[in-house]
Amino acid sequence: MTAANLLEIEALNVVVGATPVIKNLSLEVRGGEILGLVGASGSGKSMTALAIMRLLPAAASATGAVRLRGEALNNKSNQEMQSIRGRDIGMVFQEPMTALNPLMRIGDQVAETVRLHRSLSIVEARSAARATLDLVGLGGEQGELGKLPYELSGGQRQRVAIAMAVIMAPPLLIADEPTTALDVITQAQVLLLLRDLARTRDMGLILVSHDLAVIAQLADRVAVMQAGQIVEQGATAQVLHDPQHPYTAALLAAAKPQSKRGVMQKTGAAVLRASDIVLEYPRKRRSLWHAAPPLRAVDGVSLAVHAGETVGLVGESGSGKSSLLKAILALQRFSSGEVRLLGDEFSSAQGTNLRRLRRAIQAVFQDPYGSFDPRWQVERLIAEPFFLLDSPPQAAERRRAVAAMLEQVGLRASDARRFPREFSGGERQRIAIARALITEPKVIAFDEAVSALDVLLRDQILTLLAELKDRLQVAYLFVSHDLHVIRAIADRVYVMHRGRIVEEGFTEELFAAPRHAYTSALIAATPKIA
Amino acid sequence: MNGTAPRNFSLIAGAFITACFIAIAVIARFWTPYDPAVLSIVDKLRAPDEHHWFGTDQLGRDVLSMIMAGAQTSVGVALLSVAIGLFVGVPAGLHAAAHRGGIDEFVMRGNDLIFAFPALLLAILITAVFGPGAVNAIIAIGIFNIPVFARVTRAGALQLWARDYVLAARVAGKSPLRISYEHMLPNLVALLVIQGTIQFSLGVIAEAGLSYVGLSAQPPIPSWGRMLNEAQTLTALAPFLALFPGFAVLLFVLGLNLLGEGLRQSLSPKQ
Repeated sequence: MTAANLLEIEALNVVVGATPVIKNLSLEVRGGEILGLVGASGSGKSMTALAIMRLLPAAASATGAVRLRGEALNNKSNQEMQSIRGRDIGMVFQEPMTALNPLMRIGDQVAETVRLHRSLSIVEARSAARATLDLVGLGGEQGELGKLPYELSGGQRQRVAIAMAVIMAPPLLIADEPTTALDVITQAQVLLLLRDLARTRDMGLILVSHDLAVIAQLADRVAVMQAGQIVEQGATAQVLHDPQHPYTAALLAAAKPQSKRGVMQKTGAAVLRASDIVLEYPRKRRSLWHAAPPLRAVDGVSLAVHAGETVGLVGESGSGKSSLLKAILALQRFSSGEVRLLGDEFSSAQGTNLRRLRRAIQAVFQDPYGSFDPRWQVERLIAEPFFLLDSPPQAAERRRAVAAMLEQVGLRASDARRFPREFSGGERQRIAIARALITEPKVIAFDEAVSALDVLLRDQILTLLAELKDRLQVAYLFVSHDLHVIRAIADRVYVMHRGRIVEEGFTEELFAAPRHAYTSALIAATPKIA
Repeated sequence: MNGTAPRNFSLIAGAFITACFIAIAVIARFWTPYDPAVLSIVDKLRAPDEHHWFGTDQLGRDVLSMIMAGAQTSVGVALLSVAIGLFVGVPAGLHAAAHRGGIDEFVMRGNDLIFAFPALLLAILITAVFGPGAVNAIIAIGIFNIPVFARVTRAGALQLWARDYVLAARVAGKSPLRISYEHMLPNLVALLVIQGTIQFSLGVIAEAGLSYVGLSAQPPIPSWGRMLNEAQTLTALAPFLALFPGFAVLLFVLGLNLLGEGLRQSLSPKQ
């Protein structure tokens, strides 16, 4: 290794208003080295990345030195910084959809980046774009270059974003949670691409992630951030095997699949049984004479959840998991099949029978920010399903029920008077769980309920769910793309692929000896800490 | 920090101007310097002086008093027509968004029909049936406010329908109608207040236009549009007769637009 560092950060401090968000941070990256920057949400990882690029929000101000190849970036003019961004430092963001211009063909978008930095003709820029898109695995065919962002999958869009970031061959690339929005198989491919780019081009790479398992796959060195400070830094293998700081140890523990399952209970009767569900969405008519064949999102799926059991439903995005869940919750009409809840037909139930059955199945959704009406206080939010009761508790009685439920999920009774915006993501998911539990249901469906949380919060919520299950004798149907989560919590697993269930079985057996090729691919692609 | 000064300026200036005009309209209900309906031919066409601040018209009526009473007509017609738009358009938009399909199609095509119909023609039609008057102006302008509110409500509600809290409410067994009024409406208030202010200002202009061609309030009820019409033949002789009602319309509409813009900036969730 050469002694000269590519990037040096010395005593970086960032304050937003009067609150310090980065405290006295020092960091080096060498050429060709992959540095993993890991920490929980709010630890200042993204702020560090933005501070390097001098892209901090207007309310933030930074002090300290950032040097790229020995040259200080702090006192560059804004114009000089503009040409450094993209040419000397590339950046890839989490959300590939918003990073691209939706109305511009991807070939032109990549070509535009070149033309911003070098005076090339359109033809030359296009051929450079083609070469780079080829490099990131988006085939050099003309067809791909002419596509618009919405025609691409999330993984392909992220490849375009990477192409735009590396086309000027910057010596340093910053990737901020580049795979968090992608499913595991795509994640593995994108991570591999990033590693190859760093190795073949001798490019420094800062990989920012909340997931230590992702970092462990790729990084040569790891820096662990907590509350704006680097608490531990060292070679990946050393940090993973012998963490010095308790926070690193906690992250490490949360990233490894640990079973939250209690003793396998005697499975009772099926509380929820879905048989041969077929769900089709109409597709846009292409011809005047013939209706387009409908899109079959769920193709003859049957599954059962028994009393007191946790069933995992795993599959990548677009596999039909969410559509199936909506069908089961009677939120979405389906073409054929039936859903039986407590032995009664649920999907066609009416009136009081429907209300009785709805009480027995509740749901927790993915987005902790979108799950609550921002104008309602927590008490009213949690009490909303009381609508299903024939004589809902009023006033003091209602307040007592909500307070008791808040304490069940690890919040305080006094939180009932607050608004959802006053809570963090993890606390909001606790509120959502309280809302799902208030009618004392037999089954709760979770749609990617911990996917938006960082590993530590995820671990806490999973522990809470395991406790609640033992205490309240409720069954869970847990939908997730994340195998760690499924493995930690589910007793039984269904694997869904392209609208069908391709494999089912008891969790440990299925993970130990997957029978279907797709299941093996999923397991292989999941980042693991060795 | 720099961004807040001009935003507050729009809001404060707009609110101030609007409040002044509404106050004038309310005061005119009880008191004007002179009775705006009393003719006094000896005093006709006086230039502004200390007795008649804005002068007198060709029939000797005090222009200031007429402007004040005209504000009453203007505010009344515009406000009631916004109310018609809100009370019909908002439920129509909510239902269209909640049920989609047939109802949505019906409501939106009905909107297109109203949009395609010339406003003045509708006003003339109503006048032909019921005779001219302020009430007809309210109905004519109100009808054209309906599709505007229906569209704004539908667009806002469609976005909200994609939120997870709507799914949660459906899991709690609530009907689309109930969700519309419990979850949609309160979250659309900001949007509707802003649109209401804009429609208010358009209503003031529309009322002035209709009364200019004699389709709104009839004499002796004063209105700014008719004052402009009557002043037209006298522009060479007494230009102030056209200037004062003209400025009244201009200032009031400017105030409402500033208020609308100020509200949009301070109420929009992105800030």
